[in-house]
Amino acid sequence: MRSTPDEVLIRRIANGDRLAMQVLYARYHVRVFRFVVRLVRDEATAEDVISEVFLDVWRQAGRFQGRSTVSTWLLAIARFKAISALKRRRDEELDEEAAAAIEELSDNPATALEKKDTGAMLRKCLAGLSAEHREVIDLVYYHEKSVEEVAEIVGIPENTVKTRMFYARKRLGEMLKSEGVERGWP
Amino acid sequence: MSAEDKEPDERQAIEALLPWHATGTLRPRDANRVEQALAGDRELGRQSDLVREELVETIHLNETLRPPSARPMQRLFAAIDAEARATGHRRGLTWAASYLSSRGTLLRARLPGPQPPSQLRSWCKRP
Repeated sequence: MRSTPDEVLIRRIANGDRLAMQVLYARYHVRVFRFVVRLVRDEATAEDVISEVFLDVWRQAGRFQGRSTVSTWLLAIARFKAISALKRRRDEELDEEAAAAIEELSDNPATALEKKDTGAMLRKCLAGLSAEHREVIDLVYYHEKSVEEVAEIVGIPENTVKTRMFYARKRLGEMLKSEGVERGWP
Repeated sequence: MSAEDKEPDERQAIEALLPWHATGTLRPRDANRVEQALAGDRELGRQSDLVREELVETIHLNETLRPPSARPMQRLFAAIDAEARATGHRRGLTWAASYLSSRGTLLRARLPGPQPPSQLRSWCKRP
């Protein structure tokens, strides 16, 4: 059975079709949630953000012009809402969060075991990247967004997308190196 | 000319495209550029392997994040229903206003309004 194309769902949502909204939500809420939770690093905040994202879709569906895919449009809205949620947090909370992220990377009793597993170390370092670097890595690798789509979601030129991805990967390599995983790059 | 012989800028440009090559999201022209460079450059091939490792672990990391609870969905549809009720209420008010306005027009039409002066009435009746 062929599923209803996203664009058709959006047209139906624009006409106030609640069922179409439920289908779109079921199709994308987990991906949008994961994108947001990786940015805001707080599940409760991410859950609030995704309600706001889909409520915006309900209200703005009539304005969707199909210049980008629906998933790119959703992620762009999600990013905007996530950044607004982050801005609402106090500066000291962000400082504490940054400190916690660094702490997560430091050695603990399990680290010796993890060092044997490059995959686990890689995931640990991916989690410890800056928000800017996490975002571009997730959009490219997990959400499978093209250079042009990342540029649209993040609101930066295409060349900046490529440079940012390059430096995110470079930083990842450096973090792995400091954890004792030598990949030969950078 | 192998990719190793290429200008550093061109090589770096190809290296920068490797993540999108791994996910198959490059434009055909760029995909061909990368394919050609990979064919003649073992070091670039090693880079490509590193990218694939990162790709696999990024997917793994994201897939291990728990899905959201039912709370955001309940909140979303409660908000949608509230908006629908408000819109229905507004629509009801608009309809009532429109209905009353039309009734008002009808009532006004039945009531004897100000009459034109008698001279004008007789002038209007002239053939």
